[in-house]
Amino acid sequence: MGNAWTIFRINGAIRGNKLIYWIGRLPLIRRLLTDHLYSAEEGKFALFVFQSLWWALKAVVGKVLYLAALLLFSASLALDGPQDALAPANLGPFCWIFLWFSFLIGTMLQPHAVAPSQLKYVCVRMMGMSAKRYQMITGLGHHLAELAGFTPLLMIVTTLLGAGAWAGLVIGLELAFVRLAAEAIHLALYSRTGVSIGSKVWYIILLVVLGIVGASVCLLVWPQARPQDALLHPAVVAVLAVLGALGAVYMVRFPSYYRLVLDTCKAESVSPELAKKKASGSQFSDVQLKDSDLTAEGESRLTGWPYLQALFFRRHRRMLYKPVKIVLAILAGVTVVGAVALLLFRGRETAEMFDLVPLSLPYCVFFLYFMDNTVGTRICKAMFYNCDLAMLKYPWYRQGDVILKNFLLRFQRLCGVNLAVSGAVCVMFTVLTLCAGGRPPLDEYLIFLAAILCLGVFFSVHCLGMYYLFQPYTSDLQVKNPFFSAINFSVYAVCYACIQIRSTPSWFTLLVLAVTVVYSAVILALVYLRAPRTFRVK
Amino acid sequence: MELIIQELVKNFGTKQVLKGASYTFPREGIYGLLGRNGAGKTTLFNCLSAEYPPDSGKVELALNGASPRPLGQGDIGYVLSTPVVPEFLTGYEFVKFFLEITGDPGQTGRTPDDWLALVGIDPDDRHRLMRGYSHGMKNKVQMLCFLIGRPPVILLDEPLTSFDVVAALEMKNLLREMRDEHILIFSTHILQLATDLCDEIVVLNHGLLEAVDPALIHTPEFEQRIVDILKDEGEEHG
Repeated sequence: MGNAWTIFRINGAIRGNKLIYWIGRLPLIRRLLTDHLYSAEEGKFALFVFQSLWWALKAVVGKVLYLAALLLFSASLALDGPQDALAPANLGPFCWIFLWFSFLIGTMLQPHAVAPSQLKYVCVRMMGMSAKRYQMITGLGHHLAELAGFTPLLMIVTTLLGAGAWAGLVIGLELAFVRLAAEAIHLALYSRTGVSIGSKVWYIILLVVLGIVGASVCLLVWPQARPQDALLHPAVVAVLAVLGALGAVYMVRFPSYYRLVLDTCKAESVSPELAKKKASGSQFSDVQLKDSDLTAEGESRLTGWPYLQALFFRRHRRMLYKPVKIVLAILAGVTVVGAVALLLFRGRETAEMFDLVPLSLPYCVFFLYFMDNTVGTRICKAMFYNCDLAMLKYPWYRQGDVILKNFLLRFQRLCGVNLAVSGAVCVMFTVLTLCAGGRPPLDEYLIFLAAILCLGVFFSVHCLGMYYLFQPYTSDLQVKNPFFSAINFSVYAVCYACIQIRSTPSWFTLLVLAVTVVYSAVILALVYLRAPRTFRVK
Repeated sequence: MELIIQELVKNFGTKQVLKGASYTFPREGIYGLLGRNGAGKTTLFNCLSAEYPPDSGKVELALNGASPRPLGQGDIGYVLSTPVVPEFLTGYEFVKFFLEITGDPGQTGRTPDDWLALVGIDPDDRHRLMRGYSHGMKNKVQMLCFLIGRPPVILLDEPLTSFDVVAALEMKNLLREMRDEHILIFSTHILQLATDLCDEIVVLNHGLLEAVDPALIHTPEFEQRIVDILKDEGEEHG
């Protein structure tokens, strides 16, 4: 009893503190709250009690909605058209679905014993409470709460379906027996393999798919069957009760609860802050350097800032140049194969088609956006994670002229990469047009090529400019700037809209040219004026 | 040289960390900043180094007898307790690069190898990427930035705790060599280190800076005096 009360009080303190913390973050209210509130133990406990009652209410409402959804679902699947959800004929289909969803998915998906929780972490790992005693107390509480929450509602449902309250009571008890057996199965699996499969994504997907397929097959193959008869059969009840009792005995005798808690209940799985940090960190996993990137060969020709940036780009060549090399190889392949094919099958139709090459500009906009933005975003992330996150701690790296100097050095590098892709596209079109015998108007064609090259510059300015103007990453590796995401999305939307343009008058080419030049100039000016203030680690 | 801190205030939400801290560091030398956990030592350093601005108050520097002026860029060097270095560079490359961008302000004529040898980084390690450096080695590289850059004021947040005994002794000697040309303020919990190294001790107490009589530093009563000041704070907090 002492341990149960301790767990209850600790839970109260954790929940109460969380509630005070979240209330303290609300505008206006946060000015009124002080840290002294955390010491008001009785008040906090009262908060916890109210919160628990609220959760209990929410849990009941959730179960009501769940059962209502199952009733509607089973009624809508009747072979002879949708039926009344509360008609006695719906009892069979309802039982099929309930069997698969609650008896299988519900019990096997969320085993209590292996689920990590902050309370478990605090009580067992931090406060040294007996892991077995903790599991026994909280497991009993959990299963009794589930039984008490589900059974009355099931009794109401079976009464409404004409089977009487007794049927609901029996099904509720059977569900509790199956839950105990499921817990034991999970413990046994852990005991055998040392792994808790309950948290594996493949297991969850498999279980959910199995439940949905199983319920669908049963409803379609045996629509007239009466699974309730089996569920309410004394032999079935007895078997399930025995299985439940065996499960309970297994749980009581299970010898490795402490090992289980150590394996399943780790700090990052119970602390929202740590979990968030881990998730944030993982978004930089694609720009983490590998040992093979870090060849210690130097850049002896250069000095100062060009030296630093040259080393940075040298050691990031895998993530920067590899995708570009692949695209260049593909473009070269298309050019060679296309040229040979066009030379072999040269004709009036292909020549006429290539007369209209400038019309392909909208597709080029989207292709170059996709290519350049992918490389640009990745390299900006790498700049932040592998260089600026550390360097911005030094005041000399944050000086305005230094920021601009580095911006220009990086811009040259990124621009070089993007222009290589744009140049390859220009060469491809030119070679293919010549091989096909196409003769587009020269002025139009030259503007088309200029627009493609300008797009390379445009996307370089865009990616790097957004990074310097909004520097969206925090020292905790989170993205915290809605403008950054919004503007990036807008540029994507505009580029995507371009490929929807069906007829492409020559003004579109001129427009692309004008927009790229003006946008690049504006962003460069903004970077010059604002980056010394905005380029900071938040 | 004088570093003048006047009425520095910094709040985090409803919690007042610095409550009008004032102190004048009157000359070059090593100053120990003592305070209990959570007293606001790192906050004070962050305000001094413009990592984030104070809510009110000002910090001024008077160099070579000139009248005091607000702190400018390059006046403060801040050695973080958790060292951060660009891990894609080798130690040698970082020092070479830093020498090039600063132009060796002390005109020491030292090469990157000389500097790295000065803080005891072995020749083999100099051409290894800093990604593989230990905490202590990164701290040494970070310290080198200030040895080379020579900012008048250097803040050191728990600087020696991550060093092994040999490296700590080397670093202490290095700090002693620098004491005549810089105001070095370092925070520490280790009283022994403070008495061993510091010319003066300043205590951060109740969000205020308080000097400890320098004459007391090498006396037997010193430790008790510091503990009394800090205990007062702890008891009032409790």
